[in-house]
Amino acid sequence: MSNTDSSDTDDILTFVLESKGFFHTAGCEIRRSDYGGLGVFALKDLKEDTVLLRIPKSSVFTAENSSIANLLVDSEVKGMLALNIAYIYEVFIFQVESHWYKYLKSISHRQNGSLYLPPAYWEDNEKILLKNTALDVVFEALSPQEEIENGFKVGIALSRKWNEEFGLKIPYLFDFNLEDQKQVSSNFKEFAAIAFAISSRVFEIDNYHDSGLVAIADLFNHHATRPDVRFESMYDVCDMCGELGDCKHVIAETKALDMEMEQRTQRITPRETGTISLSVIEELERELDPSDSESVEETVSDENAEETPEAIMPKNIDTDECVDIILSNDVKAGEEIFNSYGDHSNSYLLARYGFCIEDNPHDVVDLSEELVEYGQKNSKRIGDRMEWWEDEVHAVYKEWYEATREESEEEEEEEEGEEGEEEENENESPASDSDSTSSELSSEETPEENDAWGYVHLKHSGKPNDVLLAILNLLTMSPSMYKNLSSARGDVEKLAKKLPLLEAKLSGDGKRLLKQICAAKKYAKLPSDLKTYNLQQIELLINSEKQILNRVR
Amino acid sequence: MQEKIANVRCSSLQCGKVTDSMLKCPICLKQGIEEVFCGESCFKDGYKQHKALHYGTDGSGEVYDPFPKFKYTGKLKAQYPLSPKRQVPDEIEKPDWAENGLPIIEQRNDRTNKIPVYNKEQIKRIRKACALGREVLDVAAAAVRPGITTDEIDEIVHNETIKRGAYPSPLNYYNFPKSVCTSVNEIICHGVPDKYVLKEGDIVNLDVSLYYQGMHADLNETYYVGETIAKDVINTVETARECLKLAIKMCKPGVTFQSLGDCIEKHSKSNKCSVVRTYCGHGVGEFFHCAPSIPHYANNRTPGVMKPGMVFTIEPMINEGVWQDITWPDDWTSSTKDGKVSAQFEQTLLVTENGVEVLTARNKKSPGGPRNRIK
Repeated sequence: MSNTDSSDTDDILTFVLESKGFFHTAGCEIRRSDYGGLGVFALKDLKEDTVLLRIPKSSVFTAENSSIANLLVDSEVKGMLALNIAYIYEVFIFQVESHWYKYLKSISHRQNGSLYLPPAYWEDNEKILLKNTALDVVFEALSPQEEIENGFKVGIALSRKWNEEFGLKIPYLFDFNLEDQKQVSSNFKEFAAIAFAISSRVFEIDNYHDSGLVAIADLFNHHATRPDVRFESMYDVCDMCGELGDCKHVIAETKALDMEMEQRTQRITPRETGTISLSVIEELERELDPSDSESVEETVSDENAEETPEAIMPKNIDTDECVDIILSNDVKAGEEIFNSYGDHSNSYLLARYGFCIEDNPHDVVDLSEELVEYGQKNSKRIGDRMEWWEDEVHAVYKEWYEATREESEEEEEEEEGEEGEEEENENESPASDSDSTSSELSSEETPEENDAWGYVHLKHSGKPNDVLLAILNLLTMSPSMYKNLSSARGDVEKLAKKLPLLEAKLSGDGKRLLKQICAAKKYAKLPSDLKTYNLQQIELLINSEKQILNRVR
Repeated sequence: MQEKIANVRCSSLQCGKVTDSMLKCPICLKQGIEEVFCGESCFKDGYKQHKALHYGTDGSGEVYDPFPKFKYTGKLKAQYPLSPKRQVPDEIEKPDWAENGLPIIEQRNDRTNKIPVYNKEQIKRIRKACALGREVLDVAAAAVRPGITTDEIDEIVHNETIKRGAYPSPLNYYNFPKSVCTSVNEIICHGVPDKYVLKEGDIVNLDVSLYYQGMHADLNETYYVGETIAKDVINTVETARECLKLAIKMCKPGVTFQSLGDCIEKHSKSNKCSVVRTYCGHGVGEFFHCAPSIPHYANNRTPGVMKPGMVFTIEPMINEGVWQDITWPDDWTSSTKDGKVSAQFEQTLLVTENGVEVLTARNKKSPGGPRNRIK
């Protein structure tokens, strides 16, 4: 979902053209999408591997490419915060003087006149509706976002410092009386909205640029199951200049090493006398002759060139220095062309990108609180098993589980390796894995340490995930089996060997327990009139979780 | 006073080490040049550059074109042989490339968005280097006249530079063979001084850079040769001069480097000229070239904002015809693609608290200067 106004598309296209970028205008167009905002649509049937968009990295808006790049480097501000501050100076201070403005001004942090905020900064009456959803319990996306709050403070401090030092104008967002709490809170909200708009659009570019905004690439909408395109960018570049391969830094380091080696191995050469032999010179002449490049290499234009994207693509552009959006399958004329922002649940999508999709296959229902509550209520009967899980089994299980998973991942990697595209960074963009973007949201990938009850959820199918299955099995196994397992108490190796027991299919008791816990899951009651965009997203999210619960019953 | 015996150095531009070798090039010996090489491998490594010292294939001492197969875009051609590498006294402080041609310290330390800000003491040294640079350029410019070769101008620049205890920065920078760049007529920049004889109606750009007390200065001007200059040539030269002046006027703290190109291209366009895109202004001082990079064309998105204490050059190259450039087979000389003339002016600038100071500014006695356009 892109929050870009269609009246800006002409400016964006001009920007791409002026950037020596390429957009396949013969094959696709930007227009309003049913999914909200703009989208990219095929104008004709397009084949797999067609390059739809190619933007030179120098035309991707990153902190390193921005007008205030040197100030950010001097202040050692990095990551998303650097990008946010750079954006604010470009749009609010330099404006038309900045050649990024044509593109950046299209990135709106308002929707229908009001600020476009992440759930953490919604009104309380909306936030309360999300209570107990995965967004609340897994991602903690209703509580204040530390990174944004700190970022705002850093922005205020830096802009004032730069103003004092050399008179750089302070963006109005940071220019207010710090005593005025009302002003602080309203400016902060706008900053949060800008940070949200940017974080919902970024792509991970490479290890020099970090995250960046890519014109047009940010207009492709998300599809949960069948994306049509992939984002490609060479990730491993010099972290001092962003160049690929033998940049001056690599050359200098190599040469410096050579010289060091030479000094260490001071060769004692016999004192040379006489003259170089003429045959040596003759050979050197022969070597030079073909490479003398005395005729200019003229770029011959191919007369038979068709109207292929390659033919209209700007020439003399090094594809390695560009980011691409490439079709990963055929698309038919008229279809919307989708990207994937990653295999994310609605909770993650809403917290990070501000939208939900109907019946999201990556959705989960978190049951950790309900499970713990159940345990407390039945502590007489199962307290011992609960405690053991918490104190020992969980840690052993986690280690054993990760070890077995690693093995299977290795196998998968080997298979992928054969396709030979390892060099490319085909990340599922916008930058789904960059942990700098939102530390609070990263818990989706890795369960928190020492959290015996974390990461316990129902999958989209209504089946318990592996941890939940293990706990359910532990809590409901027959006394004799429990006795058998308990015999390994305190012996990690022995215990690990018995853990496959916890992977067993749920017994009747297990199923009953699962239903009981599911029944304890309570959501807020939604108002009957879902007028606002936010309320509509909340409904999507809650309904999707409820459907998962229904699959258990 | 004791006579000092100068160290003998390997003549390969890629080696340059002190050597006691006596190995010589037989062709040079015939021409009366006594250059030594550490060994055969040094000779091989540096042969492409060394060859420029040799006479043409006919063996006569006549001036010849070393690239007969090259499609020159204008009338100007390379005029070889080059004169042997000029020596710099041992006691003069040298940048690291003086020996082997690679500016390793500069390459290692230049990070794209780390723009050096100099303190008072450093600025004092840069200021001194810049003053010397202006003196050297003015002496060389005074010698510009029909009949002088660009190599003779190089000799003047070289001698005036070392006379002041400075090192001519271009010498052996990435193996550039001379101590100054002399760019005649359609040459945009990096012209290599050779046996070309300046003639009435030519223009020539002298790009002087020197290294003194650890700091580099960099400046250039384009000069008219003689009195009879074509109308369009005057227009190009004066437009280039004005472009630099206008761009300098914009500089002060808080201004973005990308805005300079807009101003330059606008003025150039309004005088029916074009702006070269391949070569940029640059940071200068402790390093010969470093961040920022300052393109002279409009709509560039070069990063960076000016801060007091930054030192950089602006050096617009303005073409009478198209903006495109091609490089000669010597790997240095850059010519306009259409063979029409190109002019350039450059100053080293210091951003001050409220504006900018031209560290390499002209004085009343400086040769050259503007001429009126012919209507």
